[in-house]
Amino acid sequence: MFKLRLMMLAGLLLLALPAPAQAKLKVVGTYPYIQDLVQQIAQDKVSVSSLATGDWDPHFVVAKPSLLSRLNRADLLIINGAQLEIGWLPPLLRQANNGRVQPGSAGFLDLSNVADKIQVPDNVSRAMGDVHPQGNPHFVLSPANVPKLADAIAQQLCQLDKPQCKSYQQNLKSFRSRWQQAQARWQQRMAPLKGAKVIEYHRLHDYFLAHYGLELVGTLEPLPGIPPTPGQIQTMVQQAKAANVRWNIRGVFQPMGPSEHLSRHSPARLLTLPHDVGAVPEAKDIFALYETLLKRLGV
Amino acid sequence: MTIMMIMLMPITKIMTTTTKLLLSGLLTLGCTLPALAQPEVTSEAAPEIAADPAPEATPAETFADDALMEALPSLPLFNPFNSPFQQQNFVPDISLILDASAGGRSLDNAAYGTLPVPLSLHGQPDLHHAMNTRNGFNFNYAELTMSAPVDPYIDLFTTFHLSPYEFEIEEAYFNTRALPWNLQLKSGKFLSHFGRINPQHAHFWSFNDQPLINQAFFGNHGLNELSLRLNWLAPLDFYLDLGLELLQGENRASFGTQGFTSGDYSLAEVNGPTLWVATAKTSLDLDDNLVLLGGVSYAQGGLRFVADAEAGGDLHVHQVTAAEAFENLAGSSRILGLDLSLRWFIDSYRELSWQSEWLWRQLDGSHYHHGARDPFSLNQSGLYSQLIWRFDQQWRTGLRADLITQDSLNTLPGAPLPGRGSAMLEYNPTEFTRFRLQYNLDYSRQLGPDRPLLHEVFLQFNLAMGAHGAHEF
Repeated sequence: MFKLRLMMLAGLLLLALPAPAQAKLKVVGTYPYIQDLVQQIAQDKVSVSSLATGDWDPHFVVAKPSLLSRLNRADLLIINGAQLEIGWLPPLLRQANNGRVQPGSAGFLDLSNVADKIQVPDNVSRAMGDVHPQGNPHFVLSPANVPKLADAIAQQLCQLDKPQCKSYQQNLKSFRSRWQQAQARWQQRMAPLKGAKVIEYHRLHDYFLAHYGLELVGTLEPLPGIPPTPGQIQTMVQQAKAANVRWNIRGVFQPMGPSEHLSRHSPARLLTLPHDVGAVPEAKDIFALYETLLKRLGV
Repeated sequence: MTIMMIMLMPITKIMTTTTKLLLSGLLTLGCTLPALAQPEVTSEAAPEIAADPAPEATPAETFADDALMEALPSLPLFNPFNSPFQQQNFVPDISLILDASAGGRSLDNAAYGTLPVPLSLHGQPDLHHAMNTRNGFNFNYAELTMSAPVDPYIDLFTTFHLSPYEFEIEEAYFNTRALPWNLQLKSGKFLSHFGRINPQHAHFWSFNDQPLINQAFFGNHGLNELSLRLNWLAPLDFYLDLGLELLQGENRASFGTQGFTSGDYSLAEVNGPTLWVATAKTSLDLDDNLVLLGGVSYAQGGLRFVADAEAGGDLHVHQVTAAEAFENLAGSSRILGLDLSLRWFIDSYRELSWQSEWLWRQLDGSHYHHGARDPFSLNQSGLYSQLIWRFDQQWRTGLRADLITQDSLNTLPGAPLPGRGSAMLEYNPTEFTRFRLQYNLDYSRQLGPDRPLLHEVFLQFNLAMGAHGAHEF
């Protein structure tokens, strides 16, 4: 009896729900920068949200069941890829009961396929820490990668939503030219910092440093993903003194203690830098993210 | 040779026409494979050959054309020692989890091996598949998992449970990837989605052992059977998942299908499936970082309890003796479960979570013993509640209380109902390594006419190598 009643209830619920209106394309990005890029290109033509917030560790996003509801109704899922989501997205995707956004479907886009990646290891072992076989996944922090990501997003939106394609392409064009101008300005402002030495907590801003020619001396983490050990912190203190390291960079979500210790005992100035849109309140879009990075570096 | 050429076709597509010419020339002229392999043509070596094509009898010599020479660097693509049939890119995700412990309890192994689990129909505990059963060192299990998409429509998962002398298929199931109408089908042998703990693998638990009430109602394996599950994820703004499962019904802690003979009574084995489970799970974000998760689960099935051992497809050598609490039972079982969890994520590395589950069961039917048949009815319930505090990226600590709240089969009238308190401290150097120290104060095991207070301390390590997937919420 109970079984029958339950099935009837389920049936009623199914009937009571309105048929999905042929409305806007529902896009879900894993991180806020993806949400922002989609907004830059699609503007109000799609509805877009981000699964993760920008101020938490992108490797360890909480796989809340509420994210399932959003994945379930998405028409397009755009991920960063390069295994940044490996620790939280796969079980969500498996439970989302949505074939449209599974890897391999038309509604799935992995941005790491179009980004230029650095630090791609020849071979990997867990003895090397949390290495990503496809290279450093924080590639949105290279300004040269951003237009490539935008292109891929526009192309995917066009495929799924042909009537709006023209509008997407126009917005992409405008975005690209604004980005190019901004990039030229940033290049000038960053020029004096070329060769400046920095220490990072995690290899989070490597793309940014490499693009503008800053020199990475070392990281507080002894290996990627392994929290700083007293020995490693001491080594970094010595290297910061010996190499006259200018900045000691930490991401907004990383524990303060090890970075503070380094700055107390060496000339390296502690600098907290955003890694994503929304990591700090000022970084409200992809342009502002880069502006904030430059401002915090004092240029 | 023709097969070779067909094999090479996809690769040749990416090469220049001249290279293709060269290749087909080489192949049709009957050039042997060793000849192809002979010159170690690398990109560095290529210009040299191109400049001076004269001397040795390389295959290149046959073709004096300079353009063809330039195409040579592509040749190593066809190293004949690379199997053209290799499929290594399709190897599934494979991982091995090892779980072992060291420690002890305030009771000899021999005595502990005879203490029944509270609420259990069995007079003796089932030590198979239980954790930390002995003083000293314990090899709890090695678990080999493999998973991969089978095709665009189906994912396959398997978990093999290995102990020193045994290989078990713990789970082997598939689920659909793209069923319409928000549905998903899962079938095979898998852990039922009943409640919160039951679907989780042991290495994902927050304590070394499973809660008393789960152990009593579902046994050491949990509710893990051949079954078919259909679930529907409601297209709503919040998470609501309704699931219906049909199971074979062989779980020997609460269900069972075996036949038996008692005096003049003879009951044939029941044909499955005899058990079904319905689950409803929902979750609300009370705040961005405060998540409430609740569920109602219900299981109803046939009950067959046979005192005398190992029939019914259960191949384990379970330690069952004549000292069973019951001889033979036949009837029906109903189990209701309620679970509630509250998880507060303070930042990326700190979390306070509270998880509780209450289970109730009713068994009705007949008790066959000494040739007689008596009506039989049993009501039991219990709960666990645990508080886990992850205070650092690598450290967690927690408390758990297990309580039996109702037992109409109380074998020690007058004594307080059984319970257990646990405390643990966990160090996780990485996501793949865990060391957990756990203390249990156990007032749940009956020893003779008494229920002694047992102390247990175990240091357990759990290591995962290979490609092990992330866990669900």
